[in-house]
Amino acid sequence: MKSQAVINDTPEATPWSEAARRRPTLGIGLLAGSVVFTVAVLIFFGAWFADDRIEARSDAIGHSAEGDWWEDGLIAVCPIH
Amino acid sequence: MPEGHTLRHYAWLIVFIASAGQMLGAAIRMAFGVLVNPLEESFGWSPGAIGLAYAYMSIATALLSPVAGWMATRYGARNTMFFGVALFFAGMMWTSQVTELWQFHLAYGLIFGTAQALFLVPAVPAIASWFRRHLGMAMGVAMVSWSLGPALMVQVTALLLEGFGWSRTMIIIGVGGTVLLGTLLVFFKNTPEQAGRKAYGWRRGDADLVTSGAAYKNNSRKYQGAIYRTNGFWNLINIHFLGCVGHAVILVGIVPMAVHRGVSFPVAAGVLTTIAVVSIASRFITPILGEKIGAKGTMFWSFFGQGALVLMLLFADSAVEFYIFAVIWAIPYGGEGTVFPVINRKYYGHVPMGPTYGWQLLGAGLGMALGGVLPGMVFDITGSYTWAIWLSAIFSLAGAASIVLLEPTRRLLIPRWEEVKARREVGEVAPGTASVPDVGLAD
Repeated sequence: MKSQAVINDTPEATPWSEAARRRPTLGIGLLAGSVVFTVAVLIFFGAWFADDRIEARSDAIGHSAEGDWWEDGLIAVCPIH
Repeated sequence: MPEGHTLRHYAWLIVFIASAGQMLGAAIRMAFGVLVNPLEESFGWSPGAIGLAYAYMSIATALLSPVAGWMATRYGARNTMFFGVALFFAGMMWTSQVTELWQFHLAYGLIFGTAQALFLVPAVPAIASWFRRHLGMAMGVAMVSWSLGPALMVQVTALLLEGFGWSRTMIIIGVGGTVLLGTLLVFFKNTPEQAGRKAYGWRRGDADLVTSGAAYKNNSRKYQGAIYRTNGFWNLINIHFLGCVGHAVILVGIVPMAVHRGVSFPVAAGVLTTIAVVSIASRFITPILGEKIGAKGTMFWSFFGQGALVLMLLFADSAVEFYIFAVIWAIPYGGEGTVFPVINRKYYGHVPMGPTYGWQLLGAGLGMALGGVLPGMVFDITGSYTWAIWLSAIFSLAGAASIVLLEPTRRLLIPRWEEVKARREVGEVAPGTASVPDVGLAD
């Protein structure tokens, strides 16, 4: 059956018995995956930014500078930095 | 008009009023850009501190979208939009009188953010309820106002600022917008059934739809529960989020990207204008195509095009190349977000769409907020926009991949909303619905 006919007229519907049994595992999984990826991107760039700031301060004072709590936190969480 | 269509139908008035609401929403956003300099001069606040109000507004709109959708279903789109108009008026008046930064953040960020959610979310489900068929065309017309609104309001606001100053401009826009939309909303009817009319595209033999009363409220909750159980509900929020990150990076970053590659500022600004103008055409056409040839396929190619074509920017070094990019990329970009109401109809039929669309706009709003900060953040760290371009492509292409995993649209994912009425009239359980006997019998 063509989708055009389905939209405009009487599409087949899912019965309650089937609708009530559904588990949206795939949909929630994809949404969760996007959230995790987004957080990972933010941590990666945040840690890069923190690393640059600490390095700039170290260059300015001539020895290793202390990181702020959020800078140390981001670098600790990021596996790449 | 194409054969079989007419403009002499109340549904088009609903589209017009909903579009006016969208334009008022655009006025809220657009007023901000021109407010920054006057506020900086008047109070000495930094652009960054002023800009926080815009961030608060975006987040408030996104987070309150599901609430606005619920309100539209529970109290009706018109009442919800009236409430939004009242907040708009209060916000504009307060903004015109602010003297402290926290007041500006509260008036613009929280009150306007809430008002914007109340304009944006109820309009689309209300239009959907007025179109039994040809929803794609209605959405195409409505979506065009999303492009035209900002273009018009920027000019109007700039002219007012020049003539009256920022404080009086806020008062004029507040009073004018409130009177205009408040008057139009008097003629707004939530559904054709409540107005005693037939929906656009109604045919003899179509079942009447329940749109008010206890049965409506009880069944709205039950059907919404069934919607929450579909993969499509969660995945469409995810897809809207991914697509909005993908294009927000470009919309916010394209001008500084072009300037960074040696294009002059006025010419670079023209690239953004070109995107806005070209996308008007695809905003109109894409929902129609989605209805005619398939919503999933149309959405997929829009997302894929948005993601793949953005890679042209990796090689763009001249104004001509940026303009070629703008013309080509604007086509999929314009269609990226406009098919959602059509696919909602395909998946969930005539069930009230307020909460579902509200959740989708939550994803969109958060995506726009994230995509808005990425280009500047990436440039500050790396000194170039290359990572931002790749991230835009990755988010859009991830959206395209998620679309492939959506359910087929050949059948409704939940039972038919029409059953609510049919069962009440006929007094018997419709085929295939025996396991939930209370549906449709609440009043």
